[in-house]
Amino acid sequence: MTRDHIFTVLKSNLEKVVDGARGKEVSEAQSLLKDFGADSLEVVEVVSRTMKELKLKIPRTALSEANDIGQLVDLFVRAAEAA
Amino acid sequence: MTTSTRHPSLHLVRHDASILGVRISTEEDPYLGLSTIAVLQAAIEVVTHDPEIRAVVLEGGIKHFSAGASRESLTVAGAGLRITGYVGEIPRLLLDMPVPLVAAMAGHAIGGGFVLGLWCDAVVLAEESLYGANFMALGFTPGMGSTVVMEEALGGYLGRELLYSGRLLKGRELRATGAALAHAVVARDGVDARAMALATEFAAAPREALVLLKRRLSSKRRAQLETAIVEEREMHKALFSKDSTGAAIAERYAVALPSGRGTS
Repeated sequence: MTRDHIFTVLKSNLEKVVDGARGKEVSEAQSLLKDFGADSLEVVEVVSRTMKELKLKIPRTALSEANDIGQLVDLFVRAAEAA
Repeated sequence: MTTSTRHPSLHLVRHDASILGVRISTEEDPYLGLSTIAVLQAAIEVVTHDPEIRAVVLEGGIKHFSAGASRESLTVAGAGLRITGYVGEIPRLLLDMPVPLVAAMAGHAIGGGFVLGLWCDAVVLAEESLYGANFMALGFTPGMGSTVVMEEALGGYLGRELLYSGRLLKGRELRATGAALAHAVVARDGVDARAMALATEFAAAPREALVLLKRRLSSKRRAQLETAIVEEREMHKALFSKDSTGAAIAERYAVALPSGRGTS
């Protein structure tokens, strides 16, 4: 599973769940909360849908470590490597 | 459990002579608890004694209409069974409200918070918000009569799919399913106006006729609710008697919401 694939799936779920991200450019440096106005439930929903789609699990407690989308992708990359 | 210290009557707002607004949760405290019951009891008291009131609009916070039971209320030892026990009283109170209730669900409504809205007579949902009965996603069986009201609101197959999976859907995704409440989804900034328009339309009828119709429509739902609550309670007793249930919920339920508590 490539980093690009993880990013694409995450971005697609971001656009479905977070209205502030619809029709906007999404990059790894951006923050779900600050740049797209997501609230905490929406962040968890984006991650939850991405986990289901990629068949990967990341500990929900690790979410608070991810300050931007790139760090969130890192969590998925680590989960994919461990799987 | 909610820890709101506001007096229940502070959650009641008279929108006009015939419509009472009831704020079921706030941004600071979006959870269900004993205070939810106190607010609904206060509202019923006011409506019962004021013959001018002919409709009630149920409102929530900006981000959350209601976040259901808090993480701590479900995971503290012995607490899971306690909260799943008393929240069954919430749908009863909604059906006991003498006049029609419109739920203005502009914010997210999840778990018991979604079910709370569904037990109202009419609902208005937002395209942008998340909705669902996520009990199973947290590791325990659904409560508050959700085993009957989800099928009523969404149809049998979609209702059961969402109960088993605990999946959340955006309002616009719910609308796309064509479910029984698909017509009730509007843009978030139009939810309050749509709810008020419905309440105003209902309130045009004489109060006596509204009270009679509410009683008739609720008696049917009440019968289903009472059976469901008893059986849901048995499921909760079986699950919450095990330590593993609290641990499973704690692991799955890790959303940071106001006061650092989670959401259900």
